[in-house]
Amino acid sequence: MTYSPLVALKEEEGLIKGAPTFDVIDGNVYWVDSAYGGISPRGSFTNPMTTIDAAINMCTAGNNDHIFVKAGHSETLSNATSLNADIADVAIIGLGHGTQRPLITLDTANTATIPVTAANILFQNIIFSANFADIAQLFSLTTAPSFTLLDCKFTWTASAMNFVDIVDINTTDNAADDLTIARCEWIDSDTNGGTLVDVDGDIDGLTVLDNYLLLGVNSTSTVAMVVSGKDTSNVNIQRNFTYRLDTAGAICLITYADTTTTNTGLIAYNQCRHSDTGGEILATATTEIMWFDNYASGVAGKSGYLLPAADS
Amino acid sequence: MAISSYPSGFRGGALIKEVPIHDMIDGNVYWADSGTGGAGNPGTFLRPTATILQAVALCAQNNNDVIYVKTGHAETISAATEIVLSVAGVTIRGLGRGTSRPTITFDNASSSIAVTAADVIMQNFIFHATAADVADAITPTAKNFVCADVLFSNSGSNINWIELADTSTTDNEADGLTFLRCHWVDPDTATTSMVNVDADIDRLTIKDCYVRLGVNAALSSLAEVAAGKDTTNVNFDGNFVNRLVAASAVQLANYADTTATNTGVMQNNLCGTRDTGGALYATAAVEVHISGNLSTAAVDASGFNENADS
Repeated sequence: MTYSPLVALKEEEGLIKGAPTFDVIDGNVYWVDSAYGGISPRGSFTNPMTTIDAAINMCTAGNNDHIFVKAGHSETLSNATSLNADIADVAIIGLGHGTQRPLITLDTANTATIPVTAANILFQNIIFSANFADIAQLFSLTTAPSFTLLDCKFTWTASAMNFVDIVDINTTDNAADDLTIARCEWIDSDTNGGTLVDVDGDIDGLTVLDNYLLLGVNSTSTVAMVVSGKDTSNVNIQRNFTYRLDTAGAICLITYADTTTTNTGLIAYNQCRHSDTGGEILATATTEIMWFDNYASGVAGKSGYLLPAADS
Repeated sequence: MAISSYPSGFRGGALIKEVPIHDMIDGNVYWADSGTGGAGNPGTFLRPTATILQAVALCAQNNNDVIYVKTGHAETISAATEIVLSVAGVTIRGLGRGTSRPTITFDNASSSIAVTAADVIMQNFIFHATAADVADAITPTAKNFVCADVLFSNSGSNINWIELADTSTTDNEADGLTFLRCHWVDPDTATTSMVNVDADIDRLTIKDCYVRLGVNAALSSLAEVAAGKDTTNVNFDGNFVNRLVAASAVQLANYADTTATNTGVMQNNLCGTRDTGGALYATAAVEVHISGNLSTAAVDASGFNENADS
């Protein structure tokens, strides 16, 4: 490919009528590609960094910098320090579709994780694969409000390799407010699979939309587990499909250790499959969450029915 | 990283890796940034203005100009004169995500954004109240104002908005007023309604908003319509409204008068109340088509289609 004079002039971006040509990104743009074998990577399209962490280290907090990860990129994380999402306002966006999406594999220890310690981090269009048994959590959030996962796939490299939780928020209240997970897929039949979000601190604005969650039987809820003394205010959980064939005591979406009216928001238009024909529910009772048009089925071949029963 | 403005432009267009670049903006583009901007700047990416008002002043009427407001931008307004959107056809778009979206702080009860020109859009902002009972975030006296993807927040208890938009008493002055994908959570019992309708209005549109408010008598969450005034062609669609009114709840829109002049549709809204005696979506006997909405007044019970025809 012959590059335009833009590159020949060593200009890495251009403005047309005042607007940057990379959509509208007011921050800097960096590139990542593990296949790059050249010298002096500098995060440009033609000299990309080879790891996401190296690109993050080039970013500036508060600058709305974007990292584009090229199709086919792959990297492996073997600990809790190799990839630190520690610069605020960075968007990490994978390119490519299907199996060509960037792949991040976690291996070596069940403590391998991606710590998120800054606000407004986004991961989009990336495959995350567990290559070790019972990796405790894919993402570990501390001070990380408005963390977002879009269009990601959570999978496993081989049988008995799995994530327990996808996101774990720590015990500091409201340190992970406005966590959003949308249009993601998590399919894992391992019975040690846990929940999408492990809530250990109060959280406001937990948003879970349009996800496909098919998990092994494990007496835990697919979307969230909320520990004692902690609340979720203004949850927004809509249009997810969840599948977990618990045969008794099924709480399909969220389990609360405590049930207080501090838990608020809405849960709507979800479809839940379970195998509990006796007393299935979608979330622990007596919260202040509003319910609309969710359907559940405990029997193969049967259509879902409205759960909980309608007010009148 | 060096960025060039290519002041001579690209007369034959530009290809980047064989992809033609089309910015799809036929007007001019200006930038605002409180961090690096200045009052006398030309509003370019590298020399932005410091405030939205300064950028608006650079725009031309009906030119489809666009103002990009940079990530982390912040400004405070204490009156109704500090952000006046007086140039028609301007789009003001915030950049950034989460807490880094541009933030406009309203620190006085009379702080407000005045919209005095038609066809103005504001998108992707945080409007933050730091005073008690801020009367109105927006006072539209022009047609077709659109407020999209805006978080209306406050700094603590007893700090709140009364309403988000208040029309004047001049009929049809604010036709086409639109809220899209906005988020307003406020438990303060002084909150009234998203839009206070003091004049006839056509095409009032509220879609996909999340509104959870404190109980204030039996006021509606989305609109309160004054006596003698009508809403034609309203479109309330896909909103979640949650206000735990215990009796006589009118969840979406309350009309002082009920005439067949009120038309349009309220559909697919999800409503939470505490009125077990017959909550309504809108005051009865208007000609607004009400369909596909769900409402619940009970804990752990799904919403049902209240007041359905049969």
